[in-house]
Amino acid sequence: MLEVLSAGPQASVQDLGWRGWRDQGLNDAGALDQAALRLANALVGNPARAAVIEITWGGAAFRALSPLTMAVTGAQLKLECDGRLLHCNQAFAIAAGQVLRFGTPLRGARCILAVHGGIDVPMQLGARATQLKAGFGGFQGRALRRGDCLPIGVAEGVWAEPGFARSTGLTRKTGLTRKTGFALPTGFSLDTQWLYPAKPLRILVGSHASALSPDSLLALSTQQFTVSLRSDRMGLRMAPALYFEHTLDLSSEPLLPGTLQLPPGGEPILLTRDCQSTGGYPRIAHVARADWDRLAQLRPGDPLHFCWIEPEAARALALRREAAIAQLEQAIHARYARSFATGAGRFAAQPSAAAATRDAGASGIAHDHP
Amino acid sequence: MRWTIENLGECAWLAKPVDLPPEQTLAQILAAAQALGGEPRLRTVHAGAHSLLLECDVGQTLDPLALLAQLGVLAPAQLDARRPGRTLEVCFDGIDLEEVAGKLGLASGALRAALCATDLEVAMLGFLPGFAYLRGLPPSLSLPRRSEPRARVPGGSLALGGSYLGVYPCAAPGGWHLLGSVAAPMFDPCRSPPATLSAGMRLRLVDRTDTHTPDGIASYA
Repeated sequence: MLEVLSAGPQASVQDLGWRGWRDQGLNDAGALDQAALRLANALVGNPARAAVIEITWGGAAFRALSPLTMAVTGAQLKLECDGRLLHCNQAFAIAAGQVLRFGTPLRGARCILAVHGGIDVPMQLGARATQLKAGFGGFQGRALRRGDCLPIGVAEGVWAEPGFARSTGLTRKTGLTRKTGFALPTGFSLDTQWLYPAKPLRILVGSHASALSPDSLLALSTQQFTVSLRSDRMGLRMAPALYFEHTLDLSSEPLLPGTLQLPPGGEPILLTRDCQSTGGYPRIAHVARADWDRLAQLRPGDPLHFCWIEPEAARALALRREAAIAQLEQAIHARYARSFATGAGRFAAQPSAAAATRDAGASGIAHDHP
Repeated sequence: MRWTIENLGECAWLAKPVDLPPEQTLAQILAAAQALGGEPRLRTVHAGAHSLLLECDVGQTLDPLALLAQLGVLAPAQLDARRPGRTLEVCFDGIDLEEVAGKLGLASGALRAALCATDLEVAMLGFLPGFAYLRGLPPSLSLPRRSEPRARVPGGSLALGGSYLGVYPCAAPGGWHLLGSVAAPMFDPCRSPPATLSAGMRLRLVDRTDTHTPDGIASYA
């Protein structure tokens, strides 16, 4: 069990989200930064679909009620456990009774806390994510609050195979060895900088871009925008305003995340993964999928630039990113399996970040050039 | 049967039927959505009132026009016969009822009667889980949404926005006029399908204001 001592500004149980219910009005949602979700799960030996805690703006604190193996990815912040400084992007162990405290992110807005075994909340319509607006899924259908005690599941996949557990001395329940108290290699940390390149967000042209005034059309790809305070899990509002040559009156249509909408007031809204499933505002652009995770890490006041990209280039970029993340997941799993096979859970040597990157195939990972 | 395609980024499209009379558009969109429901390359098939959203995973290659062209044209009569009818019991206790009636030049009782006499159709689901856009209101019963949205509309509210009616499945911010309340749940994640209403469904409102328990939804032939 994991007890919530403080949830910070907002924390909720999330996973990869739903699939195939949009015609029921249910969006896919899930963790806003899905790369962070997948890598956090990989670091603690979970399958990608395991449920985690998404923490907005840090400030949260959790007490382990049993020994737990954890990892934090996404926004980089100070992590502290009873006076011990811990690092993001690598697995660590916490003894029963110890408290994990999150600082404030230096960069980015959201981090993912994964626990070996996953947060064990009931699956609803195929996901364990929280629908915060509709009030179902996740932990009791709501954001986490002080005093909540989250059940931790039993590991799945290779971790759950009896032979694997026997050969490693790993207990399925906690991901810890009986002998050493800790099994997962904590030595190596991932380089995740490449997931969040400091570059303009790449956008594909939307069908109403042609109705923008010439000034606004030019401004979209040349001007600096600023994320406004009125931003949440559904979307990011931004300034300055953009304008149409003529007003457009549209009917509501099915809608997807990544869409850059322009309401009549002129304040653009960039829709994120938890956006509503229909909408009637003009669609001036669509953020390339390779950049969707970056939207999760933008916070009010952050500067924002856009540049145009063609569909083929956007698809290639998304495929390259997907391959790099998948390779990294596999490399982490392979490294753990190898470590168990050779060292039976002892990781005295500190494999470097470079080694992890090398395992994952350096070429696809370090760079994100279109 | 021709479609136009709007790109929604690199692997999603909004397809709209062309050269169809408006009353056949939804039927053809729903027929196409049903026919494409088993297409493994598609992650999302979402039928809207005027368009069909298709989305594939980024690793898939898919030509939406070719995919749609393979589908034949379904006879509207055939489609109509498949659409079930429902009644939805409403308590007309909304805080905007009197004001809306006034703006439409009706007594509130006449507005209630007119709403219950209208054959409604579910145009699409969206906005929130289980939220159905209900159409079929004549222009005389249409009213632009409120200029200032409310920060919180209670769950179960029956509301009027433009020419649409809708029932808020849960509490949410909203700019529609509140006419009444519906006790039947609009979305239940423990059910499959989870939404009570589905696109294309025919619907009638039943006035239960004067009985104490507006408790449900029923089928009619």
